[in-house]
Amino acid sequence: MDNSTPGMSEKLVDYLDGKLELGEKQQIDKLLETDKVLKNELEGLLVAREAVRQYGLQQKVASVHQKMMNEHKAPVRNITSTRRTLRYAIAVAASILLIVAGYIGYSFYSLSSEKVYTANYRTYELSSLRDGNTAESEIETAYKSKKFPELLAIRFDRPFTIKEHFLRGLSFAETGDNSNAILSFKKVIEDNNTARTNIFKDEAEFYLALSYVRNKDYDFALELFKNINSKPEHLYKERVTAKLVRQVRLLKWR
Amino acid sequence: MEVIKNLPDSELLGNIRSGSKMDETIRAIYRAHFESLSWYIQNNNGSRQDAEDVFQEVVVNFIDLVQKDKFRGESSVRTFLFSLNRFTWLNELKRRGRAMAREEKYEKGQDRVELDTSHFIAEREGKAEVLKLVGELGETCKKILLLFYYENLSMKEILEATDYENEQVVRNKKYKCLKQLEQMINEKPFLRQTLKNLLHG
Repeated sequence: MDNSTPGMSEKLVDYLDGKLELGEKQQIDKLLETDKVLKNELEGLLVAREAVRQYGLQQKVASVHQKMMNEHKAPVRNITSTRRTLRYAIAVAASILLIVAGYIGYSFYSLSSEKVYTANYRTYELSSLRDGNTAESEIETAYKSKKFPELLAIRFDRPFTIKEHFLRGLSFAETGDNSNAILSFKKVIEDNNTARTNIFKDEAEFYLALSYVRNKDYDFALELFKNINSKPEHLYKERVTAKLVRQVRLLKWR
Repeated sequence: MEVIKNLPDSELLGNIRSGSKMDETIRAIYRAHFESLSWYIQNNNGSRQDAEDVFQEVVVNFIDLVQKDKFRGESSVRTFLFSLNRFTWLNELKRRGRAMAREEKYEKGQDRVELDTSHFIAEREGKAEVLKLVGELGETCKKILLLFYYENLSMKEILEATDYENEQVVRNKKYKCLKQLEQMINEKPFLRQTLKNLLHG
């Protein structure tokens, strides 16, 4: 039997497909050992089948590939110039917001009652002008000389005047005795209220508020600052700045 | 989105060898390996599109090698895919005439993993021609041959998928289509040699 045998090509395809009976298969196997033409034809069929297999595999992977790439790719949207500008503006605003938030955060955590107190406290300068009728008291002299501990040691067999209470309050503040400073400034305000006078009252209110800040009594301090701010004629109105009030509020929230 | 679990190497290879659950298996390969292999290409002068194209080629070659028992399992699937990916990409770079000397050196030192499969990759141009040739077959021929030789369907099943009267008609058609393809291949000796190389490794 050779390649020219009628039906041989069909038989060879059946051989390729594994459809032959055992006897027929053995017959072809034997022929293939000697018939080079037949062997060449079989090889042609084998490569044709391989071509189909390669094509099928490529198509299979390509179909999955497309789906998977769609899955991996984030949807890309064309944006208009208006939208792009808006996005840019939002990004800039967000950056500014972040910087402001960072600044506030830093200020918030680095702020302390002592820092606020030190930034706003100024040693009170006592006026040297006298009316000629009253002599300068020992306390005044000590204050002008900034001899604060000595001043606080001075005692009289009479009550302290409002001015002396005020100077004692300042001396307590200068020496770091916050509680007694508060008591002295409160005494100035009370005595003024009783006597319906206004001697060092504005001063006492401001320094009392600062002493409250230093003592971490922020509610009392804020109340006093509010009171000072509400009076246009108050001597310390300019010293109670928005920044000072904001800082005390921040301290209160912490 | 359908959830596909990561397949262990043994299950993945078993599916490929048996030709079962191929879609699921190919998806699992993509999910487990595409991003990392893509990263390699995109970090070596390649674009995202290059990475996608190369990965598709890598998956085709990998499945082909496994089905022909050319993957001996001396390395993990991941390592093997990585080698195929690198090798394919370096070949592509060479083809483009801008291979990187550093990478070539690296390749020589590192790509010892089952490198006897490299000729499969080297046949890429011939393979592209083969695919083009099969694509030139008529739609009916392509369908019958693919259903029989790729999907491994029986004549009865193919009959159900086509409009032919009976199995014998399908059988005759299949025979003629195969012979037609054989003839087309024989007219291009280069393609016949490429296919022989692919067939016999």
